[in-house]
Amino acid sequence: MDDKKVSRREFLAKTSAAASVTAGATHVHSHEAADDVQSEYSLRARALVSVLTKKNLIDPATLDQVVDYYETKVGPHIGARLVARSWLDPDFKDRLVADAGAAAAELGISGTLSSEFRAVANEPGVHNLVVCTLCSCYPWPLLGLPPTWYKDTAYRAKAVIDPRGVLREFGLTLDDDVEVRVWDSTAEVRYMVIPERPDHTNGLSEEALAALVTRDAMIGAERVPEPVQR
Amino acid sequence: MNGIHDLGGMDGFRLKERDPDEPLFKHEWERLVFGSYLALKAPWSIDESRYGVERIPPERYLTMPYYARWLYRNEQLLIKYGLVTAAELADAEAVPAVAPRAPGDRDASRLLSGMIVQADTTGVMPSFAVGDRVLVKNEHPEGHTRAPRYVRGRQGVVQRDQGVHVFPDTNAMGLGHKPQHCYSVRFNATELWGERANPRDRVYVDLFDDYLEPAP
Repeated sequence: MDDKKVSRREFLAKTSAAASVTAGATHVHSHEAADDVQSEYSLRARALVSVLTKKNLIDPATLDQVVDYYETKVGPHIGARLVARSWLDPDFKDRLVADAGAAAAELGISGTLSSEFRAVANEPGVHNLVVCTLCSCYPWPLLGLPPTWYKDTAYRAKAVIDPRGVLREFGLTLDDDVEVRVWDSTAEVRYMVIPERPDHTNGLSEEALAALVTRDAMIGAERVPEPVQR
Repeated sequence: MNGIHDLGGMDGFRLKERDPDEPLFKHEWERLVFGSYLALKAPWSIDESRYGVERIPPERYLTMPYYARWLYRNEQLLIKYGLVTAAELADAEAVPAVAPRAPGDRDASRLLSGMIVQADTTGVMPSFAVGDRVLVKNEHPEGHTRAPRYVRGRQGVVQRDQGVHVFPDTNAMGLGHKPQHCYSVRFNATELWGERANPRDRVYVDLFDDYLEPAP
């Protein structure tokens, strides 16, 4: 996107003028090209931000800060720290499973006060998979914002009825005698998966272990890859 | 409501590929929609905001990108609460700027939590205990609900008491918090999906007290 070459602040400064010229024409027509759709969303988003700013309902600096927070501060590296610690410290793992928000707070991770967080552990014979069939609930403070595939209709539809088929498409074929536990995030409880520690990781530091842990493994969509594969 | 958002168990969709390196926002407008929504001191609850997405006409819901659903919802809620008008959104240039106030709360980690109401737990007793067999009532409210269709009329076992929470069904509709216990209920996959499921598999769903009755 050319948009990205413009700084957010410059972009915001240009929004009112751009929005006013064209916003009247943004009500839906049949769009044939994806570009037209993107441009309609873009115009409506700019108009929205412009009106909210002019009416003092938002502070553009707060908007910048919010986006920056989720783009640079919060992300799967946080959950990966929890997982790596749990691999090295069984007592910590017990606390993580009992109350993931409190265990995260031990490591100075904030933002876990509003909802409850649960970590569910994979083990030999048990594989966990997290979904939100009704919307896109996800443990933001621990894993950041969810990936596109997680928010998409197909995953939300299939994960509960055919979790093994989903995992197979994702490249993980489970034996029939493995128990699959699917967690549908339908209330204010947020789930993450503690994946199994890969073999051949003896002697690795907590940081080195954390670097192995992938976002998708903490949703249950894959196993943590062996270090040699990376 | 029995809306298009209640997708669990539907066939025919194609999974999106997993991209470990995708950007959080693919387009600048997605950043604006996300950032402006969280920067707003919204007068509505997170339950009402979810209900706002659920009411997107189904044929549009399925083809909208994720943040386009947010955009639609944000516009509708802002108009409903009288914070902006459709005319202002259609002609942003004509809106006069008011004098800026002092900056608001900029602690980004707290902006979302402001939307989640903490329940008053005083005197709220659980109707069920861990291990109880429960039946999800076969109810189809026209308003917001967090009991997905695929568990209604099905039996499960209370696996954990998740504590007292605001009841989304009433809170989303402006009918009060109605705080109550919420439970992690474990269903056998075969109870939900019959012979198609592997008999070993389980589905755990967080369900509120009002959705449940003792299994017969």
